[in-house]
Amino acid sequence: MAARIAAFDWAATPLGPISRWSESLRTVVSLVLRSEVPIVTLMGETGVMIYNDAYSEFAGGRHPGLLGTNVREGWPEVADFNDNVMKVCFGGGTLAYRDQELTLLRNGHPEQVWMNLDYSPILDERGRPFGVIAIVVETTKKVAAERWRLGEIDRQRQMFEQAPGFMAMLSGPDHVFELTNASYMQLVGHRDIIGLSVREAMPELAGQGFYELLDEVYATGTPFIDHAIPAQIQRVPGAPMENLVLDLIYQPVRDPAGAIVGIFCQGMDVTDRFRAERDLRRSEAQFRTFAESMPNHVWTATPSGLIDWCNPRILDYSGKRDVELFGTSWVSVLHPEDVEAARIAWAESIATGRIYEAEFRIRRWDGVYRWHLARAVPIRDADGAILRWIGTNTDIDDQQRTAQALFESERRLQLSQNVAGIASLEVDIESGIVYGSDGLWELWGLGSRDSVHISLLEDIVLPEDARVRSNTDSRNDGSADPSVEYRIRRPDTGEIRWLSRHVEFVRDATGKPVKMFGVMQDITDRKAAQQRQEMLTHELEHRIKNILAMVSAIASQTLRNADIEVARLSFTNRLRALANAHDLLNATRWTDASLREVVSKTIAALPYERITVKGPNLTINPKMALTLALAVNELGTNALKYGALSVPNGLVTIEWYLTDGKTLTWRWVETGGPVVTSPKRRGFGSFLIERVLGTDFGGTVKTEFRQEGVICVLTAPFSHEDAAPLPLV
Amino acid sequence: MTEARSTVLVVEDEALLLFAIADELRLAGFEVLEANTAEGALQLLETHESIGVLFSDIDMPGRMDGVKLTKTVRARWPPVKVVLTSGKPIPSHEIYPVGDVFLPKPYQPEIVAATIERLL
Repeated sequence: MAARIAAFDWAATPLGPISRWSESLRTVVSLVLRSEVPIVTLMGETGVMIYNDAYSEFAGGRHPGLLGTNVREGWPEVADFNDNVMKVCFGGGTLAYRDQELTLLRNGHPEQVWMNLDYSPILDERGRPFGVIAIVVETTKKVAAERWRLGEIDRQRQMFEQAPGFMAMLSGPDHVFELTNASYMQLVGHRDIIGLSVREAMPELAGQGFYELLDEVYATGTPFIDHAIPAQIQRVPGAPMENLVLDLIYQPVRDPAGAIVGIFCQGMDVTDRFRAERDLRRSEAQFRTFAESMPNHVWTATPSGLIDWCNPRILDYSGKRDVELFGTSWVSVLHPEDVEAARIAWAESIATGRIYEAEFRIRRWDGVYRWHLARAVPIRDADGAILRWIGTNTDIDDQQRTAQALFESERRLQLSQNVAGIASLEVDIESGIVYGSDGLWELWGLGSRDSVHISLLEDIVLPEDARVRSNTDSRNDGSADPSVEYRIRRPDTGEIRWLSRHVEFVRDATGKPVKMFGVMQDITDRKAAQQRQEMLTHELEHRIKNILAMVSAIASQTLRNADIEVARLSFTNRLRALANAHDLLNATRWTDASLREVVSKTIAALPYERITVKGPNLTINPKMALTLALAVNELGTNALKYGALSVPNGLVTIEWYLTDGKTLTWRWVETGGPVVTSPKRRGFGSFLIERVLGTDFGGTVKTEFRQEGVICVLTAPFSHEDAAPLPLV
Repeated sequence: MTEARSTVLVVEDEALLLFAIADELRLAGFEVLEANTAEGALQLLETHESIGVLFSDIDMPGRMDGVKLTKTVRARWPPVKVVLTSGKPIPSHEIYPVGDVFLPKPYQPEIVAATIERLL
């Protein structure tokens, strides 16, 4: 600054050039420049400013413009203040300001600053003021710090006042209340206690040990801290004592020398929380007692799903210790196949808070898995937050097995019903509604449905069988025939089918029929088979009777007027011929027979190498076959006795042919035999050949007893229809 | 036995049986006519007023069996007695009052003859 001052054009100022400055002025400026303290001199009556380096820093952006400027113009924002300074000091007075607040525009913007300012007049050799010396010390930082400190104290006081816990400052050995906060006042019922000792202010605490505790803390300097201390306080005089529970700290307060001067008391009224916790513990205890006595498995879990308690039944069942099931370890006793589903369901309930329900197998201590139904519900607090889960496992193994067995049994029943073509039905007698298995509707030719009114079914039964089926009366009084068979005309195909149905009545307590349960079966095929069987039996019976009748007739004819030994042989031969024909007919089930086979089989009992058989392959009906067999037997026997076959060189030719395709000629021709003469007696042979053979073939038979041999010719109309099977009559 | 209706008509489709019983009845002294169909029997009834007994098998092929034949005879020739026979067991309600007597097969010719004798 010295250089600046030296270089400044002072001639333009009221002070004039430096060379003409008085010695006093020079001395003052010299002193100022050497000072470390910010100093400015205001010279002359206008207050021309000369200042040192320290002040230049204080002046900020105003420096160096302030040098040589009148103070009024240099600091226009505080012109009035400086006017007063000039006035007082030129009057010989001094001014001193401490932490004076000013607003300055040092750097182009308003600044709030605080300063210590000291103003004194500068006197010339004659003792007259010619300027003012100002020592300027900025205290802004100090003031700000002080203000913050005071604000902090205020905030602390507010915190103290508004703290949720109660606080009080007790001083001296008698524990006089100096300060309390709102919570403390609340605690003591807003009594006027400041300035009173604890014993005076709260006489109801006598005998509860608090006075003694305070005395001890004061005496020993050892803080006292405890939770859940019971206390009885009378908030209002005359009112009943209130039982409170407090968390409490007594903290000794020491002076700078370390001597105990008071006790800071703070704490919380935890009565509500304590009671809630106590109630919770009680309810918890009740729950445990209850849960432990339950036959079911009971468990609890944290809101996050970790098992934290199991009742003894679970431990007994699983053979595990509780810690072996806690957390997520419970899955270790689940059947491996069930773990995944159980976990997913549990995680979903934990995430959503919805009731948990799952079925899984739990391993018993002996390794046997049993099905359980697990259910868990969340227990929530007043705000709806889940506090814990309570779960149960119920053994449903027997039900599960029963249900499974029932399902399988029903399936087997259904299957067997399907295989057997059996349908089941249930009739509600009161309403007449019929319920049935799927097969029932199929039997009745109805579309698939659940039920039908019985009148619909009654209409499907053929009217002629209506007397067989049940009706409203016979159902109501239970007299309906339990087992019946009747015919229906299926609505879908119009087919007539036989149904059998068997029902049993279910009666109420009074014996009145309420339901009919039963089964039904389509027996059309069985009926048809039965009818066929009956017909066959009848036919067989008829056939046997007919054979017996034929045998009887043959016997009568054979035995008539005959030598018994001859008759016996003839009869045997005739029966054999009949039996041979039967063999052939049995092979075709009595439909028809081959003419050639009838002939060949019959002559097998003769010297057949001398018998020539020739003719087309024709079929004849059973009656023709039997008669032809008997006729060939008679002719053969006769030839063997009297004809061609009675000598070594005799021959027989059996031949047949069709003329014009419709006339059959069948011939028996003997040659090479002895001379033939007409028989004197006509027996069964001629009876059969001449009468029966022709009649059964619907034609005529001519027998010639020529000398060279017998010729028998059957001529009959022949059509292939003759070969058609005939009823065996 | 009246002179007017003393002939027996035997109806049987099985020729062996037809001729055998016819011969037996002849041997027993009856006048016998033979037919192996119901239609043939009706023709004989039309032309022979002497027929007093019809001895017929029930089961015969063709449109008319022994029962139908009997009904026709009953309607047209009420005095003619009817003896029926069959290899099948026939419930009596199907015979009576159609026929007078039923003889099941196999029958003894003597029984047949005695039965007819009784009816004539």
